[in-house]
Amino acid sequence: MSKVVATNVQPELEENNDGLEQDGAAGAAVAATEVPIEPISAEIKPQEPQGSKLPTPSGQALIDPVSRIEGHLRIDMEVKDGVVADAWVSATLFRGMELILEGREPTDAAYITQRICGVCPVSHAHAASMAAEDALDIKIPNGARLIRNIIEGSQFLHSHILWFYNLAGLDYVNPLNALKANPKKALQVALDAGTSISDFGAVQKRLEAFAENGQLSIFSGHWFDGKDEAYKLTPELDLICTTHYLEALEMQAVASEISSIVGGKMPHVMSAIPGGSTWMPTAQNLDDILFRAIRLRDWIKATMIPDTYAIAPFYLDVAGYGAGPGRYIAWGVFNREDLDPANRYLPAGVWGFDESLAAPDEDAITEETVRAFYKDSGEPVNPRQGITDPEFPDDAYSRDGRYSWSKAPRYNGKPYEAGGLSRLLVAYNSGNDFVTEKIDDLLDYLSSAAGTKLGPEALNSTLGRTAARNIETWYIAECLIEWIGELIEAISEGGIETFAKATKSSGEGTGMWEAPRGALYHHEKVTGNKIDAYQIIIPSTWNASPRSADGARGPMEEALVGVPVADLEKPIHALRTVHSFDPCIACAVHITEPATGKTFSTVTSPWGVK
Amino acid sequence: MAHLAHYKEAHPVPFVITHWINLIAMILLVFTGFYIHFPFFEGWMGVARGVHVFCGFTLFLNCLLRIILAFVVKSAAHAGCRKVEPDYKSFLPQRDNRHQFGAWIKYYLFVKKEHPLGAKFGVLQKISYLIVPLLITIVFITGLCLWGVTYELAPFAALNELVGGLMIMRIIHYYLMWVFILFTFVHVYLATIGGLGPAKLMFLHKESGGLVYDPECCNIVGEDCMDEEDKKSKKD
Amino acid sequence: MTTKEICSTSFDELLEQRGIKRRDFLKLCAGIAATLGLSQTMIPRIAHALEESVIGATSGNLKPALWLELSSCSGCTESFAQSDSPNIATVILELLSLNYSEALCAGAGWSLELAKEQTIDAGGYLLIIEGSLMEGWDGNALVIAEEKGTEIVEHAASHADAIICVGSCSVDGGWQSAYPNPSGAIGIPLYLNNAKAAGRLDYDLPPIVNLPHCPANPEHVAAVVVEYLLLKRFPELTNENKPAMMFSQTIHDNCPRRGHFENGEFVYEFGTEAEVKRFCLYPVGCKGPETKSNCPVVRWNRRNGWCIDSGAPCIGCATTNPRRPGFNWVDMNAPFRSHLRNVAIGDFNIPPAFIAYGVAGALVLGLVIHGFGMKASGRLKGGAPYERERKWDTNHPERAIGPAKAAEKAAEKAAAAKDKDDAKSKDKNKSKKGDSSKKGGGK
Repeated sequence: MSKVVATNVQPELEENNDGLEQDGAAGAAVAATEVPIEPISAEIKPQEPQGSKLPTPSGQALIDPVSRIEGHLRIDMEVKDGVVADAWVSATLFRGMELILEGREPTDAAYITQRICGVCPVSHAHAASMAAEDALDIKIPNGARLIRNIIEGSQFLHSHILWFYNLAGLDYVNPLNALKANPKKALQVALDAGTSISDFGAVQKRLEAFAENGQLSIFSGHWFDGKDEAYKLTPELDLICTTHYLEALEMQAVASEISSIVGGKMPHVMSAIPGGSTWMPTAQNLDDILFRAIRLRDWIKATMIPDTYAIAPFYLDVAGYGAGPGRYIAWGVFNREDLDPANRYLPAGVWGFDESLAAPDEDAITEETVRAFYKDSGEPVNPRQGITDPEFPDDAYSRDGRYSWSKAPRYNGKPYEAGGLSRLLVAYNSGNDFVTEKIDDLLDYLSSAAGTKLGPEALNSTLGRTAARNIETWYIAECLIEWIGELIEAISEGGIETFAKATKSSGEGTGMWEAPRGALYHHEKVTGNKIDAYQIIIPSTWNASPRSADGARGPMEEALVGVPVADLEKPIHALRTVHSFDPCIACAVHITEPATGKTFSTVTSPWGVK
Repeated sequence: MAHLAHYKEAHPVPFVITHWINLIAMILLVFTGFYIHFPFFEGWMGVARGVHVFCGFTLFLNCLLRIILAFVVKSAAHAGCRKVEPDYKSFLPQRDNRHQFGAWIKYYLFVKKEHPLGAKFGVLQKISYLIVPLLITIVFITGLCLWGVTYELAPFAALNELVGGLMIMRIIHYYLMWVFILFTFVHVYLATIGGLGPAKLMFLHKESGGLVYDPECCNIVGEDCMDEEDKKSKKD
Repeated sequence: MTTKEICSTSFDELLEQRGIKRRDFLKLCAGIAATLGLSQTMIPRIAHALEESVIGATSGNLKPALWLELSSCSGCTESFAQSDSPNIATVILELLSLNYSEALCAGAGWSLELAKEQTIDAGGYLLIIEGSLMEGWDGNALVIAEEKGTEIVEHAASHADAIICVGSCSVDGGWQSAYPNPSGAIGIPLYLNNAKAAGRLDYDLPPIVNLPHCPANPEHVAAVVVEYLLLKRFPELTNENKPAMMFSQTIHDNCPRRGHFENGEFVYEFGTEAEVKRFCLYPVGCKGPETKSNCPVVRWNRRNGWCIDSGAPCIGCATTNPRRPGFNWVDMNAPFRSHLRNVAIGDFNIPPAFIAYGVAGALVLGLVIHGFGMKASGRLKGGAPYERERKWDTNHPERAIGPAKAAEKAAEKAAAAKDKDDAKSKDKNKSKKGDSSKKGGGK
């Protein structure tokens, strides 16, 4: 598998090599990139539905647990005549991270908060570090900025590749159907679609051996056969995508190798700390990360993006549902030298289809708990002042009562969506050239496939969220090479600074950053190098939030309404919609603390800790 | 002159040597211990660890030797008295001081004005000297627990598990060092606050004069003005 | 132990328990069969298996396995997905039949739960557990598919060949059990042992292998699984049920920077020349000397890096104590930048040195005050006068040993035999160089 990637990618690698030598390290950065968007050949054109009418059931549809996400999520839906009429999204795990952080040091928080999420630990480390830097008046040196961008970028690539192929991918690709494919035909289809070719025959043989053995392994209990008839790819495309599923398992590991070289290990990197980074790159480190980044970029360009384009026409119906609230928040990620959130590679902003772009305002954030498992504090409160006592009610998970461990964050009192789509829409509206160009290309392509002109509104859908994330992957891959180039240049020009010491030991600070899943907020109050209070609002808390007092659904609940369901037992379109948010539920569950004093006296534990 | 005479019989030569070894070993142990705890200057970690381990064994073996010698060597159990008996008796309650625990505490706290009439060691002194070998043994064992962690020798592995892990063991070892430091403070203070006689005897084995005590009648029976006689003998 | 017979006899019951209609289930099977039905002759076994199962055949070339994610961050799954050899694709296609994994499985909701039930029913599987259990709110802090985590584990362990606890959370509760342990996190081995001791389990506990680290090192997991598959045994375990091969040496023992430690070449501040030279990280709080694991040898992420290579001191994430709650790696090692952990006194976390210096300072102050007291009471010049008679003697004249008693005795003796007495006292006086006639205490 890796051999194939190598042969496929080799020529480009060498080109980039030359580029590096000629133009300096940064030369490899965002060059004019072409995705071969061939007209869809007859071979892979989706077939029209064969006129069979799908059933339109009514009743409850429940997905518990939702698989292929991080954490434990329960989706309860009321289906009416084949369409979701209402939905309740529940987080079913409580861990209490904020309480554990109290009394510890800000540096420790950068390590401990990573353990919220095994998929996006780097983002937590960075947000926690930024909160500490804000509180203790530290300005990180430029070397640390680049190192943070590199490690954060490689995490994004890891997360997005894994998510698209290995998590969400199985909602669209049926590997068992690949057994029916003709490998020769698959080769032609791949060439026509402009995606990378591989030894499809060998992969099919591997699948055959697997099928012959008869144990289903990770395909146990699959939904490929649901009444929705939602798996529409031809056997050849299924074979191609299954091959790329296996390649993606390899490539996500390659991305994590970069994180590991820079951060020690991934998940849960070690070098990201308040003040900068502990990593001092050696020449060997630099070539290790540079050529992995180039390999990733080339693979994303040659495989991930063309795959997205190749399968999108089969799933145009997925663009017809999954619309969220249409309001987006992004705190911004990947700093430029000025460390200005509005000037980040993916800038900070709040935007909606009926709202103009604005800078994020920390004071506009509130959290509510009326439908969550906490003693209700009455009014929506800013996380800096929130008071929360966890309390598990007797009628937990009832549709009318409290049904989630997740709180309901709101911006200006309204639910907002966070994530890759949010970031791209903010970047699109702030005039990011790369993003604008690629989104326009995508919309043109989808328009031609659908036969009607589609605007950015089309992105407010399950398909839009999915495709946007892939464009972001590409953008970050290009940026990653640029950052490594900048780092090499800085080192060759006389070294870099990577760490700045704190000059005081008390203060209050906020870190607003982005995890792959969306806007991430850390806030801490430090006295004498000890944390008095810590608050975290994580992207999936925005997306998977329960209802607020006014009854407004959370973004994911909103997106589920209107999703077609032909099979109450296997509501695959709902699953696709949930996956399009890339939820990260263990993250989502958290509690806030009042700015002063300790309030966990009501918390009980088996060992009698207060 | 209100202290008893310091005669060589109180601290025979072997004990002067063991005391010197204790002193040097402990100073080196504490210094290298602090260095190992946090290397406040560069370049000496290997040496520090070597010295620490060597001194650790030395201290413990010296402690064992001292205990054996206590049963072999004879010393004066009473200050201001040349009558010798097996040394271990100095550390046990004696006829003339077994009821003085309260008296000593009161004396130290200035509640009692007069110095308790008694033996070479006051009651608190005896107790603290008896605890020292115990402490040396414990600190030695905790040190061994931290030293060869990879060997996982059963007793040490069991002790590490008993206390809950290497980190806890390290903290115990750290605090035990502090107990020695604090002991040394008090020891040096009490040994020198009343004059340098005891120090001269213990370190240089030099006698100094003072009151004379009779263990038979359990009381002070006179005064030995040794200094003057010394001067006289030098003149002669 | 369990066979297909058990599977088929209890299967209808099982479906009923799960609230699934047999009719619907058969349809599901038919659907899978149709999907796979391209060549019945090529895959007769799967066709047979599909008549009754959502997991396909219950046995075959692959070892059935369940990967339970309890209270976790999915980091251990993530970590395992980056195993070097065998890689994750080989594991799920050619080594394990991973019938239940919330992170990787194609199924979702009830069909995934059914796959778990069928695997448990068939028995003979490896139970791999990631994440801790939550006892908070009577177990309601962790609920999956309307079942408490605690119930899930008790059930899933019932027919397992062995349990592999992956990651520190699973082994001893991990960071989630750190003070104040708000959700009542507890490690799997302790929970199961408690449950067994309380008589809640009607089966013997399968062997448990603990693989601490946050997250678990993928090479550790792969090595244990592969050894089990190839050699049909588990590695030799320490008394904490960790593979001795992996967890009996400290990180310090095998650290590539050990030479710098012995030479006394240290990093005192990040971002300095010493970091460039890759000196020892001991002064910035490296927990390598206390932490037992072979990280420096196996390294992480396909052996491409490990913490200390990135200039970051070890935080001791493999520290574990599966038998005792509260000895998790965070409480044992935080603050991570200090050499020693803090000492917890009630709600206060105090660095040990603070306490030591505090006590020492107080003592020195006490001695100084005492010294002034000595001066004030005039004891400095020659000390306090000796008491003439022991206080105790005064209070207990009948048992007195002091001068009064001695004088009495002397008087008696003198009265009885004057001559003999004289001779004796002379001898005595000679030896003492003193004058026995000058009796009395201090001046």
